[in-house]
Amino acid sequence: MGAEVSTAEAEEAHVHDDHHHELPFWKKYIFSTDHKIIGYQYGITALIFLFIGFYLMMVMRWSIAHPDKELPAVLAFFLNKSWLSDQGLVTGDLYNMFGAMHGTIMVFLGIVPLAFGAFGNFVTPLQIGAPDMAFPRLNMASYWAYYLGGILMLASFLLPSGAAEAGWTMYSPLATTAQLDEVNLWFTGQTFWLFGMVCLISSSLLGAVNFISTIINLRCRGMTWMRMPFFVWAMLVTGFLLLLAFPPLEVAAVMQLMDRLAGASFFIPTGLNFSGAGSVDAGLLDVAGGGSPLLFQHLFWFLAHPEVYVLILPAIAIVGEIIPNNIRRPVWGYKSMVYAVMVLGFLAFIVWAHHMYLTGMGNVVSTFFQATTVIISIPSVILLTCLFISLWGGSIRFTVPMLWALAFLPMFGFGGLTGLPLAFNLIDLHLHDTYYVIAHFHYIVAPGTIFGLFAGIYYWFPKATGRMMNNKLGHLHFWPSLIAMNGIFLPMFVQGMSGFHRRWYDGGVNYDEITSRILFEEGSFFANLFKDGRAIEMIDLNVFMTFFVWVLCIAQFPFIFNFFHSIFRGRKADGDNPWRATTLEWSAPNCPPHGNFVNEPIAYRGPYEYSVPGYKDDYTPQFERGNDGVILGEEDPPADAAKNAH
Amino acid sequence: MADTPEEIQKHLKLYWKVGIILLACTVLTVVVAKVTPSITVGLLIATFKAGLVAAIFMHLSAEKPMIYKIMVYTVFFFIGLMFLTLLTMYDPAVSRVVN
Amino acid sequence: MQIPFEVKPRPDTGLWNAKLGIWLFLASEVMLFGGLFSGYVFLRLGSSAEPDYFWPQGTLSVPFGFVNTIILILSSVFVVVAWLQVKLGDFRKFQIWMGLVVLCAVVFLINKGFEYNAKFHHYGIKLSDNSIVEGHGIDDTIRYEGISEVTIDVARFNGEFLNAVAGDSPPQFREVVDGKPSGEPFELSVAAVGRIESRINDVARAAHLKSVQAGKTDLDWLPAMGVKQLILVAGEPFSISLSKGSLRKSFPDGAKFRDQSLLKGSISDKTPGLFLHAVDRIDLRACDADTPEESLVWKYLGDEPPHSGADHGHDKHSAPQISGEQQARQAEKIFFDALKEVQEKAEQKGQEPDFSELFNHSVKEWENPEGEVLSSEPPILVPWKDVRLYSNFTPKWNTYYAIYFTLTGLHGLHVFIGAAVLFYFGFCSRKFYEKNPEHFANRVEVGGLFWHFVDLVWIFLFPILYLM
Ligand code: HEM
Ligand SMILES: [Cu+2]
Repeated sequence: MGAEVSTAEAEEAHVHDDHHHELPFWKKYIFSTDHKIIGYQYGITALIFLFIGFYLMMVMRWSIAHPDKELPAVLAFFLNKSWLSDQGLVTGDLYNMFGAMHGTIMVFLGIVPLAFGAFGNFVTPLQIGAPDMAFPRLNMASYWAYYLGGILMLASFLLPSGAAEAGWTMYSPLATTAQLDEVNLWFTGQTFWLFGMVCLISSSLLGAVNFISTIINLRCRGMTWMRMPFFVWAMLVTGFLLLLAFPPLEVAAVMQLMDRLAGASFFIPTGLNFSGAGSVDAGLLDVAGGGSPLLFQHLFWFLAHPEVYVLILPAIAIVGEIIPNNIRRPVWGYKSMVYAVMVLGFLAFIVWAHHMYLTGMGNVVSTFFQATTVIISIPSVILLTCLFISLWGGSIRFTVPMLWALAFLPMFGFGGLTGLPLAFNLIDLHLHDTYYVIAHFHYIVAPGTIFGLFAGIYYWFPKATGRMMNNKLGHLHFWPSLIAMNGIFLPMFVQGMSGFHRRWYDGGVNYDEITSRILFEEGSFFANLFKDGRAIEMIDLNVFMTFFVWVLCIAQFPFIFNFFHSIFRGRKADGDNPWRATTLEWSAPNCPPHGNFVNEPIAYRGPYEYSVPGYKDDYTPQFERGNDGVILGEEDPPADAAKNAH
Repeated sequence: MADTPEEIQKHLKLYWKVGIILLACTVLTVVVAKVTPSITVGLLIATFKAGLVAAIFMHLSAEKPMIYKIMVYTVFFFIGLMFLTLLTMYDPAVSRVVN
Repeated sequence: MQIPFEVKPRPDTGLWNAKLGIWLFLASEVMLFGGLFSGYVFLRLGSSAEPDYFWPQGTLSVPFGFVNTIILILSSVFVVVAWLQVKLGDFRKFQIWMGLVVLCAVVFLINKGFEYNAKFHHYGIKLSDNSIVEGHGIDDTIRYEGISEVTIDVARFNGEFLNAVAGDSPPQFREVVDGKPSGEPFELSVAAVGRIESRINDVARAAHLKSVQAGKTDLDWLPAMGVKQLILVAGEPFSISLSKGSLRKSFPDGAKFRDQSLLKGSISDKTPGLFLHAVDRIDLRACDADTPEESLVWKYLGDEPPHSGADHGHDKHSAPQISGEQQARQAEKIFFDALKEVQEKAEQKGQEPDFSELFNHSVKEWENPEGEVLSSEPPILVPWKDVRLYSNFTPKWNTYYAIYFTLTGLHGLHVFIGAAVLFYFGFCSRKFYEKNPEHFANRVEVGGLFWHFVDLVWIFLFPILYLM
């Protein structure tokens, strides 16, 4: 590093030129164009949404476990009392509303913004040695579009109709005909949802353009493609997924808006007849018909399958950064991971119809999608395997981020592997729309992605704030969360396989044949332990799972406290590189200034050079020239240097 | 891209020529549509026109490889989007339209 | 802080940032319109599987579409020329060409406006036997008489039906309690309903409080325990008269408003059906009747509503002095003569007759083989029970118009935004140009790329919507 100071000084003078005057508060922290501030904005907003989504889920889980018990005051406190039944119970409508919004908020307002918006924004430019994103003002615009979308979604709870209630997938004609009993269709939750989605999609599209441009064009000197940290690769692929998959959903949203507000029938088939239950008057709808509900499903899943990879890739990427750092070895198979993630980015677009096996597509088409779906598990498994094998023979440091990362691996594995049976047409006929599917993707997103995101928060916290998060509280956060997550989701596989439908708002009390199957015989050990000796039935798992939801809820308090406490009171980080990591972001000062780097960042080597023989430390950062560093990509490097570089 | 004034003048001419071809093609489509309302011919002419716009006006004929990569990737999925939704309506095994 | 490669291209990719950015953006735009086009394909092919839906062809004005295509192509040339002028360093000329581009955009949008407007004023009616008639000048007034009972939804009531009440004196209502009218007559309003609601709820809440004190329940008072519906009776039966389109649902024996108010009454003889003043096209391809002659259209063509007359004379095409009935017979003659002609021609050639041409043809004017020009524009009065669907030519009428408006609407939005950006470059960016002409040229190039893309989309829209 030292060798470059002289050239960097000139650069530095330049960098500081425009920054002698302080920006006013609102420009610095609110309408900021600095990628780090925007990252924090994304992060905070998304965390708030995650907690809102969590709350909605708690109400739902209450209704499932205790359909006949009044909603407890802690939960009822936050909701509009007129949504409750006259017994104080959660109604089916309320459950539907919260279910739809739980999914929407978690996916589009929680995880994607946190993973892509927050981590992507904060880390990517730092890791490639860029002063900022390629289009800083566009970056700000995407945050505010996201914010607007979020506000619309939240505002929809205040409307007389309540928020949207047709599932996070908003299938037509269900979604088109929901809330038709309102006086003004513009001001219904369904309509707000669509407008909100249009904002969120625009936000993601702008973000994707920005990320891809940044990664392609703003890499610093020496940062060749194969020297990019895996995180950056994952962001590049994620960017492409968003860029190309989201527009069809935007189209679907616009079409559904036309159906709702202009009386079109894009998604309404001819002769659709209503019984009069729900919000639609009995009889034929006053529309032309001739549309196709399948069209909506195609457009939706054309987005939504790539979207699930948008949910998982950033988490894998974060874990991919943390693992080499904490095993003090290069990650095993960097190149295969890079190619695997590219293949994923491609295949993710051609598997979408595996969500639609039950719609009666043709055999050949089903077979095609079955084949691609099975194939897509190969790159997923490569990623996972590389990370697992990396552990072998490493000297593992069990830091808090590493704990989360380690837990991520098997949890993601669970989720991924249980996806395979779903890929098969025939098995899916049985499992579709059961709790099995819920368990499948929640294993990936909840103990998977969310653990990865927590890992990232603990890992990059010192870079963002200059302070470490508290270790003990970190453990107090991790262990209960790990146990609770499994307590919630593991039983779902069992329930799902025995036929529990995913949309029962009362946990299935009216489906005796399915729900009263015996899990543990009368008088058996568990029966004695939990039910005074009476047999434990399948439906009793509902109470079990809901219990762990409360545990999970309580387990988040140490995190919230830790987060805010550490910002102000945390232990000072030990230098700019407290984890002794190798990637470029650790060469920037903590709380990096506008423009990020003090010295010009240069990548002299690959991203994960840990325990390289011949160095006194067990890590050799990318920005350290050492005696074998070379700047690739500028002129043809000498043959032997190229060999050393990777 | 061309930067000397002479080259720019040359490009100017090219653009006008392409413009005229495009106008001619537009007339052609209308005429063809009057004679035989064939979907294929209409789309072929449109594709030709679109190709001209993309290649000449948008300089795709001489772009950087990175742009080509992005566009090839995109067009691939564009085609997928066009045809797979279509494909799902048919069952080639039974070779009939499934409603 | 300076972002690298804002102006000069990066050596290894050969691109400056905005160029890369716009292409990525265009990639997403390709997918956006791709989604819409695939929707178009899906709907169009799907329509062929529907026995009673024929994809409309040739219903848009080709000259309009043609002119708009020419305009966009020209503007596309202008925009590259303008960009070259920046490169040549001639800002004045650049401004002139840019001005022309923006002018083209404006003319394009105005044209579109005319086209849309024509569609908004053209109506179609689908009869209960799936026959279709189209034309101008609709009257969908419906009148209900003898209304005495009204059910209202307390939460949604907004008093809209009161605006439709015929006559000057607003009706007086009384509440119905246990099936019997009770209380004083009052004038209905949102506030009045609110008063009744809180009165009933106060009583209920007090009762609830008692049962809580008695230990029968520990629930707090919940809104769901309150009153939801009110039944009211009018002192004197009254009538309402309004456009049927503003009702939520209409029944032979009652009408339901958007705010869920349900009025019981019967449809007046004065408004027995839906009236279309001047029919210009009849389509019987989907008609359920065994032969075209038996279609319901011929039964109702030429009828006029009892109160018809003065207020429908607005249509300037309206036929001269002959009566509706005569016009109807004329139209029938045109229709069946043309039909026969098609059949005969087909017989001569030994082919199956293809009627699609015929049914796309209007009954307004026709030249028979003898060279005689017949014209007609008959009115039609379709009884309410035989109206399956009616609408102007908006997305509601069928999926073709739905996709037409969505595609051209989104395209128009792109035209608008593109034109605004180019206008900004042309007329509000002089300072920027003087400071950094190269950067400015880059910006114009980016704007131009977007504009070409908009043109490119239209190149496809024109044939698929107008010609095929
Ligand atoms: C490892 C390869 C994977 C395979 C083979 C797979 C397969 C499937 C299949 C076939 C379904 C449809 C089940 C049904 O509805 O009947 C499904 C649902 C789902 N998968 Fe996966 N999956 C995989 C990975 C993932 C990943 C990485 C995610 C990331 C979050 C994910 C998220 C989801 C979600 C959210 C759903 C349910 C959507 C819904 O119906 O609401 N899957 N998966
Ligand atoms: Cu999927």
